[in-house]
Formats: sequence, structure tokens, C-alpha cells
Amino acid sequence: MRGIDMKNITIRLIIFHLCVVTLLLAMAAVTPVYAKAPEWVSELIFPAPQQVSAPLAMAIDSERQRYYVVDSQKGKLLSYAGDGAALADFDAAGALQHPTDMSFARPGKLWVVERERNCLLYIDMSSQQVREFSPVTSSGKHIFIGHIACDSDHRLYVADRFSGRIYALDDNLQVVYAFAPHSGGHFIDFKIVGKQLWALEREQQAVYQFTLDGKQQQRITLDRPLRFPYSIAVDKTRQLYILDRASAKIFHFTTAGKYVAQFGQKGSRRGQLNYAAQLMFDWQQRLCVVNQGNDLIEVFSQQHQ
Amino acid sequence: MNLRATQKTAAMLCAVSALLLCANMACAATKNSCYACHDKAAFTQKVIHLPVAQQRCDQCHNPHLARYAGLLHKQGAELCAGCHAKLTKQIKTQQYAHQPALQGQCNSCHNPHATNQTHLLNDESHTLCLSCHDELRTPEKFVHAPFAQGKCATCHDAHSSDNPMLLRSQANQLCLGCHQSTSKLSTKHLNRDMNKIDCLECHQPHQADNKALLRGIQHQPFQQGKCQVCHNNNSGTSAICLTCHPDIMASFNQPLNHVIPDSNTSFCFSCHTPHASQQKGLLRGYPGEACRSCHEGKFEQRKESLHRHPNDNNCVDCHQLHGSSMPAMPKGDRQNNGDTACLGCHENHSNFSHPTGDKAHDPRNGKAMNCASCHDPCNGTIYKYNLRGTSDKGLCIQCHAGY
Repeated sequence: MRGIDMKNITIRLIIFHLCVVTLLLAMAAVTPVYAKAPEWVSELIFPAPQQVSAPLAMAIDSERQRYYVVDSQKGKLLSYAGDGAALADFDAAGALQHPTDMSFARPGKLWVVERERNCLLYIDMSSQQVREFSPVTSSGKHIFIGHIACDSDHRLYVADRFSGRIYALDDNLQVVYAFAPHSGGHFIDFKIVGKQLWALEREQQAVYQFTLDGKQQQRITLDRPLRFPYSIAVDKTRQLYILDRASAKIFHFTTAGKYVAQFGQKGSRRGQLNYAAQLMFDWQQRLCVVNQGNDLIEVFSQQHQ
Repeated sequence: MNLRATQKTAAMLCAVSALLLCANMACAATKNSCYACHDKAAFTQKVIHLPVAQQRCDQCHNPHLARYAGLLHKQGAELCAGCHAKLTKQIKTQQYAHQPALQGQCNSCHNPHATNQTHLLNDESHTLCLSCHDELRTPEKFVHAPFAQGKCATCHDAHSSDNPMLLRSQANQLCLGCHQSTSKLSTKHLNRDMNKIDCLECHQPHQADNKALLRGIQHQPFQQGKCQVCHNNNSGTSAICLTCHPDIMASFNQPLNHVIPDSNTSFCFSCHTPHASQQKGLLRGYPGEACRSCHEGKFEQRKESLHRHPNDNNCVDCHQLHGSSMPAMPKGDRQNNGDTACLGCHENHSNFSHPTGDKAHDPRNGKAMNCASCHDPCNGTIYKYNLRGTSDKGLCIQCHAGY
């Protein structure tokens, strides 16, 4: 009798342990991977205090490893080395009044958005020559120029704040392709990564992926509501980083729109965000934040836990 | 075994019977004894609350002792929810709730015993509503019939609704319920689909000094009946407004601006109505309402703050509305260090408080200090004077570490 009881108890114990192990495995499978997400820490800040006022945008020259900052208050573009050391400033002989964005065209050539006159400036850095353009849509309507970017073929892309669309322009600044959110809404920011254009749509909180000839590849719905999505950056593994200006946080999503992690808090200290305006990845895949309210560019790098 | 079971069942039946007997006795005692002291006339008006009619005072009151005033079993709406669970759930789950209902102040509108009004209201519905909404008391020339008849409930749900202003259904559907969509009505509205028109954009729902209950501040062409000035204008959506207001565009050509994309209509219509409004500048809705449609999170955050700035929903008081060169678009220019909005009301504050501007640099970010370095009036905070930290030390040591 005692032998049979022991056998029963042993079998029950084994079944119990198997159940516990299965339960733990199931829990591990459904537990989100938040804890494993790398931590972002502030690695570099520039410029020194009082050098720029309320920077609105930046551009990165990955080849020469330089940062360029748009100072819309003082009407200047400023360049910085990879370690944040100030190099030079440039006001295009007074042509810049309220610049709001910039992008590199061909080597030595620069596109700048001049907000005061709602125009594009094409600046030849070597000859210091500045030419002014006011692009229009195919139907002849003026474009209220938001962000701009150039692809590797030097084609210019312009976000139109009036229509919420992005236009690809040819060398004569004629619209060749239009990028529109087909499910409604308006694009607030976009980035070109390789041969893809990624655009952030604010109202429905979605990210659109296009080929550079305007074909929509996918629409990604972000699975976590944001207060005021403002800027997007996409890393080389196609992970999405969305700046929520109102909550002063940066949210990390997978390419499928699944929430991974978030960091940042409102404030004036190092690592804190105050009316941040733009996100961008540099040549080392560090996340650069135009921290407008703190008059800074803050460069965050990942630290694996 | 069978005998034991029978004994147990009998004992249980006895216990239950005893309990029921006690309850009945208590009930009978209630029926008989309350009116010995409490004047029955006060409980025998036209409309009587069901427990009172059934003389079941004990449903709400404990005749001996209770934790709550009036010897009530529970406090406020918690007591009412015992029977009116469906309504309580509705108030909590619907998007908009009447403030007294949400705060569980049922008695502010209802009498729990008996009244001469329907729904056990404390007074005639019209008088009751206007006792709080006194801005509607001032008589105006033209009055909407349901409002004149005191039938607020024709349009509004007094407890909660999924529509703004506690409307019983979407505004235009509600209006068209009485004002049938006839050809005459359609002609007056340039043959637009009446189901797609927001009636409240131009019409006052209660009373107005203008015929057809039109709102007080009207766009000049609309006032003059010159609809074709805008409606036959082929210059494109945004350009329609700029045809007459060309200088306005300059105020948008700022690094930070409120150009809000809208491919279907003019971007101006995000904040302004092209016809009639109650607000200066033909702004949409009450102060802050136009802002709220995009900045909902800000309003929600502010609602949770312990200390809030007076009139904080009146965004116009402090912010530039079209464009600015400064983050958050405060009034004034950068020369005033972003403090113009504050100095408009607090002009003497700089005489006795912390230095700002070029006299004091914020060591946290190297910027010149301004009012917002220490105060957060827009969001509100948990500290007095909308400070960003405690006024004794917590805020100061952020910069004065050795304090």
C-alpha cells in the first residue's frame, strides 16, 4: 500500500512541476520585451550656452561627420564637429532671416527653407551665391514649406503644410511625385532612409512607408496613443522613433508599429526635453534631438543593459 | 444520516423564518413609526419616490444609527446607485457628464422623498437649470421655443451624453428633428446638404438678439448677405480668406506657426468660422475650444493639476495664435524674454521677485531666466502659484545647490 501511495505522490508531483514549468513558459512568451530594450543616455550636448536660440532643425553630413544647426532666431546656420566643437557660422550674406530647415543638395550646395518669405534658398557654399525659389504644386497652388530632405540622387523632397502632403521636385522644382496619406490625415514630418521615404501622419498617428517614386509600401499604425507626435527618425534596422513634443518623450516602435520603449521627460536639465523639435540619426546611429526649448542639440546613444 | 439531515434542514428553515419575521417586524415598525415624528405631509406630494410611497424608509435610512448624516446607509450617489445602477453606469461611461451627476450630487437637482415636479426635481426644470447656468438668464430679443417653454430636456440629457453640451444626439440631427429639411431651408443654406451642416456654428441654440437666432459676431460678407464673395471665389481654398486679408499671411510666416493642413477647406477654418460666432475674431466655440481640438492632452493634463492659473482655458490671453519665433508661441517677442504674456497682468512682479533676463542665467540650460523657468501656468502644477517645485526649498535647490 505504502509503495503504491508513494508512486501516486511522485506522479502527482511530476505533473504539478510540469504544470508550473508550462505556466512559466507561457508567461514568458506573453511578457513584453520592454525590459530588454536598450537604454538611451545623453552622450553629447552642443552648442555652448547662448550660441543658438531656439534651434528648429539640423542636418547631418555623415561623410565629413559634421552637424549643422538651423538657428531661426539669429538667421544663421552653424556647423559643429562630431564632438560638438563649434566650427563656423553662416548667414548667406544676410539672405537668411528666419531659416527653419536645411538639406544638402549636391556637394557644396545647400537647400534652406526661409520662413519669412516662405521660399527655398539654393546656396552655393563656395561662391556664396544665393538663389530664391517659391515652389508650387501641379495645380499652381503655393506650397507652405515645412521640412525638406534630399535623397542620394540629390532630388529635393518638400513637405507642404497647406495640404499635408510631401512633394518630390525635379531640378526645375516641378512636382514629379506626391506622397499623400491615402487613409486621410496630413504628414507632419518625414525622413529619407536609403531608397525609402518614411512619413509621420499626426491625426491618425500612423507612419507611411513609400518608395521614392511615390508608391506606398505600407501604413503602420502605432499601437500606443501619443499626445502630439511631431517628428520621426528611422534607424538602419528600420525601427521607428517618434518624438511626442507635448509629453517630452521619445517613443520607440518596431517596423510593425509595436511599442517597444520610451524615454525622456520634460525639463531643462541634461537629458530632459523642452519643446523638442526634430529627431535624426547620425553616422554612428546615435539619436540627435533638436531640443528647441533648451537651445541645444542633444545626442543620445544606446547603452545595452 | 437521514435523521441528521432532516434536523439540519429544519434548523435552517427556522433560522430563515426568524430572519424574515424580524425583517417584517422592522418594516412594520418603519411603516408605523417614522411618521410619528416626521410630518407625513412632506412626503405626500404629487410625485413620490417609490421607497417613500411604499413606506420603506429603511431602504435608505437606518432608524437607529448610521455613519452618514440623515442616518443614511450610504453617502450621496452611492446610495442612489443601489437602485439606479444603470443610470450611474451611464454617467460614468459616457463621454460627457453633467458635473453634479458626475460628482454624485443627485440632491442638487432631485428631492429624494417627494415633490410636485416630474422626475422628483427640486424645482421646475427651467428654474433649476438656470440656477447654475445663470448666463442664460439675461433676456434677449429672439428666444428658441423649447428654451422659452423651459423644456431644456428637449435637447439636453441632464445626466450624461456622448455628445458635447450633453445634447441628446448630434447637434444638426437634433435641430433637423424639429426643423424639417425642406427646400425653403435648403435654399437659405445655398442648397447644401443639411445633414452635413453644423447648425450651431451660426445659430444660438437658446436666444439671440438677431433674427433666426444668428450669433452676435458675424463675418462682414455674411452679414451683408454677400455669400458670393466667398462661395463663388475660385481662387482656391486657403486663398479665399487671403483675398481680403492678405496681410494675415505674414503673421503665419514665423518659424513656429499654426498653419494646419486641410486640403478640403481653408486652413483658417480650423480656428475661425466664416459665418457667425459668439467670440471676437470669429473664433470657433467658447474660449479655448478651437485650441482643444488639437491640444486635447494639454487640457486634460491641466484638469488634473492642483493649482491652476485663472482663466487658463482662455489660451488667447497668453499665446500668439498665428505664429511666433518662440517655443509655445507666447505673446510678445524675444526681446521681452517671452515674459510679455505674464507682465500684462503681473507688471510689478519683477520688482520683488527673482531676477530674470540678462541678469540671471538658468544654470540648468544656460538660458536667460524667464517666468516660465520657475512657473508653469499653462499646465498648472501641484504647487502654489503654479511653481515647478515646492516654494520652501525644492524649487530653489535645482539651481542653488548650496542653499
